[in-house]
This record gives sequence, C-alpha cells and structure tokens, in this order.
Amino acid sequence: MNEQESNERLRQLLRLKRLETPPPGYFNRFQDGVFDRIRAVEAERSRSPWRRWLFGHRNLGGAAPWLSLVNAGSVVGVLGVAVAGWFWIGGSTGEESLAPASVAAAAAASGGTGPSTVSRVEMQAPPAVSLGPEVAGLGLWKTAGPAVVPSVAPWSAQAKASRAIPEFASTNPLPEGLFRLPGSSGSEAYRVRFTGPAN
Amino acid sequence: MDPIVESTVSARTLSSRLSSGADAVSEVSHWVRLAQAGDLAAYDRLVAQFRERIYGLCYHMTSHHEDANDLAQETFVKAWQALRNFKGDSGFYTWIYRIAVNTCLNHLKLRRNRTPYLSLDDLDLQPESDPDLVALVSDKTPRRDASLAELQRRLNEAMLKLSEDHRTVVTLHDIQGLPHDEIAKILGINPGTVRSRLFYAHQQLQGWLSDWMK
Repeated sequence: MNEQESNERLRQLLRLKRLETPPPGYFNRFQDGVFDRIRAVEAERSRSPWRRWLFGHRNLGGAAPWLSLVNAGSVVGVLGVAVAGWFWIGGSTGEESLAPASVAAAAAASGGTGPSTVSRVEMQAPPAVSLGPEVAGLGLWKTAGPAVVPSVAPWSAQAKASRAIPEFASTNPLPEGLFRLPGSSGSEAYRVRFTGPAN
Repeated sequence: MDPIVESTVSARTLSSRLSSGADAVSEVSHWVRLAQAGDLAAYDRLVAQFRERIYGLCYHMTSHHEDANDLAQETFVKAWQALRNFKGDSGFYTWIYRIAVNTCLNHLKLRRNRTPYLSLDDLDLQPESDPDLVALVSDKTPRRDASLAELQRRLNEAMLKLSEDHRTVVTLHDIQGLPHDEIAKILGINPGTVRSRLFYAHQQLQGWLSDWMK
C-alpha cells in the first residue's frame, strides 16, 4: 500500500469518529445546561464583590467549591494570625509590665503642672502580681514611650479609685493621663483611667 | 417576564426576516449583533447552530462524553461573557472555535498526569448510515469479525496517544473537515505548521492503527 492509499485509509478510519454522536435529545438538554449556567453568571454579577470572593464563583462548575474553600481558609488564617498576634502582644506587654512582683504605684499626677484631683487609688492586679492598694483605674495601658500615646497596649489589670494618696498630687512631667511607675524603665509609662471618686 | 422569553420575540422577528434569502454567514452576524446587545434568544440561536461542532471538538479532544459536555457548555458560557468584546475581525465561527480549543487545551493540561479515559458507552454510533464505513469494517480489514466498538476504542486510544497539538489538528481537519487556513486562524499559527503537524500526526496514527491499515 503506497503512502497515498495509507492516507486515504486513515482518513476513512478517522471519519468513523464523526459517527460518535450523543444520543437523540442530548442537545436539547445541552442547550438548557448552557442557559442555566449563563443565568448563574448573570446572578453572580449581581452579588457583591466580597461575597463572590469569599464564597467563590458558582458558575464555574467544579472549580467553585475549591475556590471558596481556599478563600474561606485564607480568611480563617488571617483571622487566626490576627487573634494570635493580639494575644502575643497582650501577653508580652503583660509580662514586661508585671515583671516586678510588686510595684508601688506612686506616679506623677495627670494634668502636667497642677496637682492631681485624684489623690489615692487602689488597683486590683492580676493574681500573680501585687501592685499594692494604691493605684486605681478602670484599666492601665503600658506605652512604648511616654510620647507615643496612640500606641498604647492594653494591660489587663482592673482597678478602681479609693482614696487620696499624696504621690498623685505631685507634678507629672509626662503627657496628660500618663504615669511612670517606680522601678520601670525610663521609656515605659502607664495610662490610668480612673473610675472612682476623685477625692 | 423571563428575559429569555422576552427576547425570543425579537429573535423570532429577526428569524422571519432572515429566512427570506439571507445567507448563513450574514444570519450568524445578525444573531451575534443581537446577542452582543444582551439578547439571550439570539444567543440561543447561535448555540443551536454551533453546539454540535463545539461538542464534537471537545469530545474528540477528550474522548470523554461527560468532559466534552462540560467543556462545550463552558465554551458557550465564556463566549457569552466575552461576546461584547468580539470585534468581528474574524468570523464568529473561528472565534468560538478558538475559545473551545483553548478551553479543551486548558482542561487537558490539568488532566495531563491522570490516566487516559474513554467513555464511549453512552454515545450513539450509527455506522450503517455511512456505507463507506460499513464496507471499511466488514470487507477491508483483516479483522472482519471485530466489532465497530473495538475499532472505535482503538481509534480513540490512538487519538489520546497523540500530543495535544497534533490531536487538535487531526480533530479539526480529519474529523471536522476544516481547511488548513481556517485551522491556522483558529490556532493562531501559519498554515505550513498545520500541514506539518498533520503529517506527523498521520504517521503516528498509521503506526498505531497498522492492523486496520492493511
């Protein structure tokens, strides 16, 4: 058999594949399937972008569940990192600020130059640490430095004002609302929010 | 009213206008223009016109009915989404074939590491409708007792052994009957490359189907 005959025979064989057609009626269902998908696409366009990103693209058939799983996983991951970071920052701040077993909370009074109106406070410190009965406030926030007020980190101690102490009546060289505790480094300061009577 | 039902009215109107002698090409371009304006019924006509060829392309590229069904539907959905960007530089036929080929090739890339599969049971093979093929199977092969189904299986196995580029040109030219120039436009290559790929693909197929070539 020469090359031309071989080619012709091969073409005949390949033409047999033209007869491989789906059963009758298949293309009617096919048409429905196409337009179902198109409607899904149109519905998808009306969804907000963040919902599309989070829940995936419903019109992409099999790929959609994986896409939404990846998106949902990334959201959970980001949230997890954020929560872990929050606890880590809170924990490390607490360790640093609670490092002294007992801190006498004599600090300069707020108001910069004038005497404090709160004369004596009492703090309820975390169980492992006793800060003494002198410092009071709704919360204490340790700052990286006295001048960096907006970057305060939360500190978990809860306290309330009780009675006047002379130390708070002294002049406070720090910005308003910040106090430096005895024994802390020069770069540390605490913000105290008083809740009790200011007398 | 459902948009598709509503737009059927305008599509029918145009259909009656076009039935008075307009040729198929201009008819397609009319449907395309309407579909570009968001007329789903016009697009329905386009899908009906090309669905068998697009399905055939996907089927011969994958030898898998379910995949072909999914890929052909995906092709029409992608085409609908991209229709507004269709400038008409090439024919709609060429354009949608290009989408179908790319959709199939992307699918095959993802499946490259999987075992080839065949799903021929649910297809409707009717060789009696083609006397040449009946003669080919019953008289001219050395395995006269072999069933058509076996030949079909061998053919599909041979097709799946071809590289994707070679399978594409064999599908478009030998099975679907497109000319070299049209294939070149669809694939974005020159006609000489199409001929070259066909030549090598034929050589490989002749080797794999040697039992049926005598």
